[in-house]
Amino acid sequence: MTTKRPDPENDLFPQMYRELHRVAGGYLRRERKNHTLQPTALVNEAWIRVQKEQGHELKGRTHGLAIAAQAMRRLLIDHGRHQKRDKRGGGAQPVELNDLMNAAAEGPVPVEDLLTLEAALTRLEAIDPRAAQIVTLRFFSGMSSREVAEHLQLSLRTVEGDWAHARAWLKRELSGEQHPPSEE
Amino acid sequence: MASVHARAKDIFLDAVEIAAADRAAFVEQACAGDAELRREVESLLLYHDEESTNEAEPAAASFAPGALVAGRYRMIARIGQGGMGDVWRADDLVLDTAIALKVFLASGPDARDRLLNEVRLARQITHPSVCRVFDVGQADGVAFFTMELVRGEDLAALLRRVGRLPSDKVIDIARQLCAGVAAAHAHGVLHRDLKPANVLIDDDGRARITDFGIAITKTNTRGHALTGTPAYMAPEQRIPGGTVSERTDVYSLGLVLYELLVGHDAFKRSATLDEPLRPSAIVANVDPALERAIMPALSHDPELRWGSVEEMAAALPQATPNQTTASAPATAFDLRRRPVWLAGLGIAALVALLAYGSAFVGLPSSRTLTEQDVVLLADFENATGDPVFDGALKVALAVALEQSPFLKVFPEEQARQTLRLMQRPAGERITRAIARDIAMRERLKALLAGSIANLGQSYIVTLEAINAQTGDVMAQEQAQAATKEQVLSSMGKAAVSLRRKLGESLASVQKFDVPLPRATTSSLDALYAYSLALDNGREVPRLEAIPHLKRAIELDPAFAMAYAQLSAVYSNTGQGALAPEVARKAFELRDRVSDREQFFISWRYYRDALQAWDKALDVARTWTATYPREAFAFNSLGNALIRFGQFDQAVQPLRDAIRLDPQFIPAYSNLAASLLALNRLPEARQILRQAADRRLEFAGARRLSFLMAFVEGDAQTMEKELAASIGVRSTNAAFGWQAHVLAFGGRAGDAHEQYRRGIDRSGAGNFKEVAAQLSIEDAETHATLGQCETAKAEVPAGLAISRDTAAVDRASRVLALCGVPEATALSGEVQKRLPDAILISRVSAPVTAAMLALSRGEPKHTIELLEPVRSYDLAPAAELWPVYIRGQAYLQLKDGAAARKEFQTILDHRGQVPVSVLYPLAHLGAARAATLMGDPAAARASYDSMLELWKSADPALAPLIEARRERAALDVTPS
Repeated sequence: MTTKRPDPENDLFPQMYRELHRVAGGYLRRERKNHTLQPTALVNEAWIRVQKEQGHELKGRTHGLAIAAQAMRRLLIDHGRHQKRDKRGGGAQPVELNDLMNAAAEGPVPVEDLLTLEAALTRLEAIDPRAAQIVTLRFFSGMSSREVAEHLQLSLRTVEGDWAHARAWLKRELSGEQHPPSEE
Repeated sequence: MASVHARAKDIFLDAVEIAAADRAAFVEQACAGDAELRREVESLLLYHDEESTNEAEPAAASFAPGALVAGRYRMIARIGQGGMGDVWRADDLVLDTAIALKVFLASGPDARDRLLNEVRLARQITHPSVCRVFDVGQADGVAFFTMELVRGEDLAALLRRVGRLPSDKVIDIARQLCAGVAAAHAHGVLHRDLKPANVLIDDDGRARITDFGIAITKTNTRGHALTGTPAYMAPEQRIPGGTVSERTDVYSLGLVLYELLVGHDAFKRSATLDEPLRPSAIVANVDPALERAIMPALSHDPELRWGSVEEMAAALPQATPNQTTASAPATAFDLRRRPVWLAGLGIAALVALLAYGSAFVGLPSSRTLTEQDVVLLADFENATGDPVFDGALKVALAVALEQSPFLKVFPEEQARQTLRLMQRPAGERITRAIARDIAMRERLKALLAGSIANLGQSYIVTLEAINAQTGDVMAQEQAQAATKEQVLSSMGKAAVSLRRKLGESLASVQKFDVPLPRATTSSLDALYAYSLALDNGREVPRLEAIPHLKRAIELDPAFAMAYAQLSAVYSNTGQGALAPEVARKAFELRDRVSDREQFFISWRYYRDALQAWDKALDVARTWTATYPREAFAFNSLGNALIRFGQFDQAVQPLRDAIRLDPQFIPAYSNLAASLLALNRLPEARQILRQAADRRLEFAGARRLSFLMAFVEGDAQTMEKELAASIGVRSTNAAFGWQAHVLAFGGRAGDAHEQYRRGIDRSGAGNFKEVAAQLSIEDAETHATLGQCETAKAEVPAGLAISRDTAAVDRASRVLALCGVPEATALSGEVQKRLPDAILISRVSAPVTAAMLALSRGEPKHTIELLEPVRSYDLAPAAELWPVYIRGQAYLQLKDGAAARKEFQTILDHRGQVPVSVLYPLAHLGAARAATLMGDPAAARASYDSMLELWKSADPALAPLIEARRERAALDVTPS
């Protein structure tokens, strides 16, 4: 959840977080009925509002989106956990990352799937923080690889490599397989 | 030393760069004997998604609906997205049949090879349980193939909808799948990707296996590429280089059946176990034999599974439901009876099917739960300053939305027409506010408003669905595009998502209670008032409409249709004198209205204002030709034909009007009247019954029923209809009904009493025209029966009540009948007022002149004057007078044969004027003609008929006294 380098964006964070919380709150109320969320749209909307209020202090779009993405990730997860408590049972179910990615780009994502993703993302963060950050930016802010590369000051090739690998890694995690299959 | 994760990542990234076939060898070498590392890399490769590593987004739809592909296939709608490409419903124009067309978005030789492989394999298999593949081709740079269009849904969608299936249904599906897979195996083809989403159930409950996309032949089972769907892969498929066989498909088939039975996949509860839990340990009422057939299929070791699908099929129990399954609640789902499913199938399930339905699922027509919802698109708000987005986004949005069979975009052309109805320029921008106005007029539930704006270098597209009635935002979507080129595809995605949300919300939105008619006015309030004047949206003239129409005109003094409809109401409720002014006003405003309104307005103008029935007939003919679905037009055509006495020709258009709109009351009235005029009483009665069955009530029905009962001597029905009509405001003329009947029987005194009552009550109700009409009809009765002194006195009294054209017209006839020369002046007055009224100039005027001529003792001149009228003899307005007067003239000329012919015409058309006093008098005329012809027997019979009708007649009536004397003379005259 933390970024590796010290980052000036953290200075803005508390202020923005409050604003984002407000946006997310309204969004989540709207979505409550079917327990689905649309992370990218939510972040975009939040970002536009933040920009209106803070405008000049932010260093461009990717900067703001990155902050928004981190904050939203946290908010969504909190929301998901809160919601899950109201529901019977539990236990992560297999989720298709492709479905999740497409859904995030096109429409709402089931809240439970987000939680499963979050659990996997946390595990990835522990062993490959850079990859986890790239996933967060791409998934929650809808940034392109190029934008992510620019924002993190990495080469496009590195971002795309991490992204391809992280996708396979996450898909395997989300498929419910605890261990890599082994030959008999 | 880097972690396993980091090292595996490096090897993985290198491996994905090289061809799939060479990867296994590369990985083995790169891992250099490190088993842990190799397992990690291989499992990552298993989940590597070849086609989505690059940033390029696949086109949302490579074709537009309606596109013609390869000169043969007309694309209808995108019905699904498979792993490799979209699936479209299309029409094969050569074979004239609906098919599914699968498009491959991925280009390159690999993809094409895969496609060709799929088609080549699938074509080998013809089995009822295998989806048939027809053709393969390439067009516009994309490869595609065509296959059977299956109307139904896939098992994955079915499971999402119903949860799980009872044992007997699973057995039924299992048998079909085993047979289909066995047929493939017999051709040496393995499926290798059997999963619920690859099995379709059609409307008849038959299963079809689809998607042989990764199938390989049995002879090529080693070194296969790592493709397939992990969750449904057999263990040997997950190992690079593993050997696949028929038993691989047995395993997947077992997984599918297991999932159908318990509602989730086999390893959900036991991810680390080799074998899943037994279904009976999870759900109740599992057929034990079915469980015994499924479980061995799921063995981790292929050798422990069934040796073939045939073996598995043999282990399945009989499909007849046993005691346990019969009591399972899920048995309510009958795979073969789609409607039972449909009952519980909400719009959300349908939308989910659209969103996730992977294979080529055609949507059966019977699936439409609600009618197709139509949405209106507002013009995009373009804040980018780049005009390229102005029209393009709206068109793209329409295309994206139209791919849903549940949504239809309100046609732009029609929206522009509605703009004209709103008296706005057709080219005006359809802003959100205007769109809402249009949506309300067109009774659309929702409108979509989009906007595009810059956000730094990128673009943000926002789509909002707005409830037309409340103005609330029902759903919102936002899409972001990094470059201008990506805007369309981003918006396409947003549209898909919005469509899904909208589908859910629309189902709960009620349509407007009050349908807003299509009429030109700038004021929505005026339109609303106008709608209240109509009868369920129909332009049926009713007294109750008047205040609403007046209000509409008050709100919009240029509301042409409101004037026209007001004219219609006046003309049809005994207030015809008020009609011309409003009909003229409508006609003056006709340039600003739609074609349809113009027809209506012209019809009213020629009919009500000018009484130019010839022109009205022309309008009706063009109108029916232009709007062949407009009941009102056909009713008008029938009405106009009736005016010319062409009842037989009127029947068909009137029947058409009823067919087009079974609730359109005036057509029943006109049709029944035509049939009565043609003496086709049983048919006329049937039409009235039909109207009654449809709960349509109208004053005309009672009058017609009354007249028919009179013709048939049914006093009871007459009494009933009269009682129901007297005092009803819209049927003031009913006061005259009884008077007519009494006059018909020669009871002039009693008729006069009835007329007086009618006149008093109509006058009191301020229906002056009706009162004047009754007064002059009374005078006419007296004149006809030879009581000219009374008649002459009553005419000025009647005209004093109302000097409307109908009154003056009849007054001229009454005076002419009595030989009063002033009749000519009155006739001239009417002609001057209505110079274009063809039935005045061609019938009324010559009849008046002929009557005066006859009274002057000029029978020859009388006949000359009436000769041109012959073609209008049966026009209702003539009331058979030209015929009767000709008969009288021939009698004076002692031409018995000619006279008899005329009187016989009247006697032959009893149905036309069933209560006309000319009918009994025609018997008298016929008797006199027969005497002239030297046929006393016929004369006697005619006298007797007349005297029978007049058996209760006033004894002092001149025609009665003459008839009795002449009849008696016949008896004393020696033959």
